[in-house]
Amino acid sequence: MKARLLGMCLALGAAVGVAAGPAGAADKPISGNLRIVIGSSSTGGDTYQNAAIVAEALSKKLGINAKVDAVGVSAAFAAVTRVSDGSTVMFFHDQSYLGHLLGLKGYPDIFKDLRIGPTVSINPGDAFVGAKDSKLKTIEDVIQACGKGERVRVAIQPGGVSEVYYGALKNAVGIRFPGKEGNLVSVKTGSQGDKNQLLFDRQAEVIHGSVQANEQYTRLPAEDQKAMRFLWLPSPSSTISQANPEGMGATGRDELLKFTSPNVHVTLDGKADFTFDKEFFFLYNKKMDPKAVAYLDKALSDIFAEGKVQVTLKKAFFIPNFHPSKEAAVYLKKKAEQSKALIAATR
Amino acid sequence: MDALSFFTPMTAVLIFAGVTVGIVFGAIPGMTATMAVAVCLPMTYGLNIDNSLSLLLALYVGGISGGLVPAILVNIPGTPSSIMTTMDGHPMAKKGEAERALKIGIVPSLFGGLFSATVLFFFAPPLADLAIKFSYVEKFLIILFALTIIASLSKNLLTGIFSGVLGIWLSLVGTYDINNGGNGETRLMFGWMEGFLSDGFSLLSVLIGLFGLSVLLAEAEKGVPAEATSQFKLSGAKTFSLSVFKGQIGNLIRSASIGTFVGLLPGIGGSAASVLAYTQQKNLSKAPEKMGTGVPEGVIASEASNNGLTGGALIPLVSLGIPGDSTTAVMIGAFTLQGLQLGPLFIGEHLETWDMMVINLFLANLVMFAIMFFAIRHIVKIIQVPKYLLYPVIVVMCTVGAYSANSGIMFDVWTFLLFGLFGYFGQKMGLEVTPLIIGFILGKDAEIYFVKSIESYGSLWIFFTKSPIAMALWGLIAVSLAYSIHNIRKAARRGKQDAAP
Amino acid sequence: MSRGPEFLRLSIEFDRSHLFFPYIVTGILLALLVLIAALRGPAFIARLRAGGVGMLLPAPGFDHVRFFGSLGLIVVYFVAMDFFSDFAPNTGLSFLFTSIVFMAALSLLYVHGPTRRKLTLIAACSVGLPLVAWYAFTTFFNLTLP
Repeated sequence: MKARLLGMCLALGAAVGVAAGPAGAADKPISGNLRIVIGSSSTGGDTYQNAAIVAEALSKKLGINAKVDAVGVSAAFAAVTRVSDGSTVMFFHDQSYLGHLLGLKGYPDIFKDLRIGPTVSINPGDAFVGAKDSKLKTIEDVIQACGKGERVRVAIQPGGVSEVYYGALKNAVGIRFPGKEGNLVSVKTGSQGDKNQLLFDRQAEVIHGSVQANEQYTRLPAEDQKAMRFLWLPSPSSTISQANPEGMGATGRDELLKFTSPNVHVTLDGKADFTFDKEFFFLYNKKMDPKAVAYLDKALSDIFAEGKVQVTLKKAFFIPNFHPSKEAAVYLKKKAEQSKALIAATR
Repeated sequence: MDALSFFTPMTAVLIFAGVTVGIVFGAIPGMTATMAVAVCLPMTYGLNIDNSLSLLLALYVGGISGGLVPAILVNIPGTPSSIMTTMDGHPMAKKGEAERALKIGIVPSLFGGLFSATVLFFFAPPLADLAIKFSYVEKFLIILFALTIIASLSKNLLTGIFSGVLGIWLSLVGTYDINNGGNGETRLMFGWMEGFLSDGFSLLSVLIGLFGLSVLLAEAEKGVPAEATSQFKLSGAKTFSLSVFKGQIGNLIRSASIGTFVGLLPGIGGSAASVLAYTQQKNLSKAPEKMGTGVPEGVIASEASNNGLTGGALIPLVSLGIPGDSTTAVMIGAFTLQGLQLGPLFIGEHLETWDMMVINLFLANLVMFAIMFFAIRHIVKIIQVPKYLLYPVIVVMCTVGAYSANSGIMFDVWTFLLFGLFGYFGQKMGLEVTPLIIGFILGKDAEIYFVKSIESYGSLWIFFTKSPIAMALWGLIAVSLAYSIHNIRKAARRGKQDAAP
Repeated sequence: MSRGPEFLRLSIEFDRSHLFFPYIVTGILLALLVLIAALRGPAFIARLRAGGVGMLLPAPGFDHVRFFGSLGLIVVYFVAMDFFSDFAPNTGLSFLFTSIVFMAALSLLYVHGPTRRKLTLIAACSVGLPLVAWYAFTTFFNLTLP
């Protein structure tokens, strides 16, 4: 009786399962469900948003079901390392190799252990922000203050893009005022809320924020404890100038350009300025079928050729930046080398 | 401009659907309001901002409210914020008052929701200015305050405190997360565990393991007696009437205010709200010894506060651009994808969207109440389902919840089993589950704010002298501790008197 | 701001800051454990002497089959779910099939005095619920299931 019942269950289940199973065509390297794991566990952050915009476009283009899963760094690396058939891919930004360079646990060497996929977009919004009533009104003021021996505290998130910006600023102080770089100190903290709070409490003179999150604060009257001002945008003006002219909120693109190189200078080596674009790209399993890689490259290049995804990205203040996987790999490798040199110089 | 002009048949459909789906997610152990909002977020891409927010806010309200169903009926909190509802809700169900308990639960839910929506509408900017007076130091003290509560919730003071500290310890296992300002190093584990334990134990898996699976194992040990379900009668001696709220107005307002206040502080998890509200009720109750045995006031405190959270958590979102809890953190995505910027000027620059949000919140709460009120008589039949059918369903749904809690991680499913076993054996040895889970929920935040305070100020002195708020919090901690010690001694004396003759 | 009296001053090295709080909590935990052992230990040992090791064994009436059966089934369920998910990744089909088998097996383990009616109920429930859950979560909510 029991056995019969079990058999019945299985048969019924199997029938339904087959009927509802993926009707993928065998000639397409990727069909049915595509799982995109991201290196962030937040569904409110910029990684999720960029991934979601791209996933939506891929779903429509390929007639598949692309789904973004915010599993976080270690789980994302684990998932993409485990599945090689192209049904799971990872999507993340420069943190993926910076974490490894900074020696964080749980970060493989993406250039060795994974395969670099295409780059998709840039979030140009990262910014260094100060309190409006502070006497440090520009990033040059910050560098000068350090040169004069004043201590300037910068609130950053440790172990990532944020730390590279801080390293670059410290490096610039050292080049301009040798021996004074120790006056720039970091306050290591987490969320945007915590960084803002440090500024409100005047426990930091400068915080790492973003155009998206802090623009409204820059429009508050100076007597408001919460009022802030932009000091520096690490994205170069060539990137920001691609944004919509409206910029963000009531701060237009031209206003934002005032905080970017070459209009402000955070020197890299005494000659050129340091600039950095936070770029989003795909990461694949090392053994993923080259056909599947080419298939996704082709799909994305078609999507970007159509031009609709650019509008969506720009509306959310992201800059479209498509490069097929081969180009992306060469480019990111070079970028990682530069970051490595900078990290070595400031440690 | 007519404030109701946004209201279309589409809005009504979205609110209704959102609340219903939210309740279902809230009612499935291991699934939460946050997950409901997260999985429905992609559906809003095709909607305009008004419709998106109608749907998301309805999901939020539904998800927070649905948690009371399994908490009362099967003693498994549907969401972390309904943990305290199990304390009195399930004992009521055992007495045959399941339907009454559910009905008592939804009234304060409605009250808390409407209360917080009102506070949100009238006081959002000034309250946001209050919220930023709370820095690391004050936030640590609030968490410490919530932790002192473990003392008054313990059946036995010593093992209760031990369980709470063990909960904190377990929450620290894993990586000191760089996203919270940590250094990314792992601790309290061995190197070979890094492959799966880096992210630590997931709260939801721990919660449903401790509350759900350990109970199932305890039943299995007894052979899953078939007759056990029949002890749950559908209607007991008492039926629901509004008169239970007589003398509970203070409790309602206080609990809803605590919920709203905890919600408005970013970085303090929403589940702390019901814990604080429940114990304050216990401290101020006329019959504190009855709390935990199935009295309405416990359910009222818990449910008023967890719905009070909703409006509170939206305050920093709309007036600082910072989410007040994990669910509102997901909602930020909906705003940005619509090209709408949150921050201190949001309300002034988007008055219509703002009005619409508040109206939506009101409507969602009313719809929630209506749906629950009519659904309760059907929902309550769950306890009549024979155990040999009900338990497998619970395990499978918990598994879905555990797996999906962090968007598909198998280790979270194993955590569920691990903590089921841990809860089963632990309880045999006198471990107390509620203090443990409170410690687990608050542990990580306590660490961040404690360590960061010291990093900033280089002294423990700052905890006492940072601000008048800090000193007031010490006062509250002292009073709360004094009350719980007083209550415990009173109960002990009564116990002796009872035993003497 | 004043840093207060000397004995309260403290600084934490960032590279080791991941251990600071865990050490404190571990310390408190061990202290409590010692306290519990000191207060309860003697009574416990006395009881152990009186009752022998017998009191540590499961109480009479312990249902070995259902207890270890449940545990075993759950372990097999999780292992199988994970294993089969590699055959049809990201479709949730592994969840669907293993859940049907698991629910049927667990129900059959728990049911007392099976009758035709009870078995029909079990069959309907074991097939119906995973099917509804699978369909709703994967199709409608786009959840990733194993």
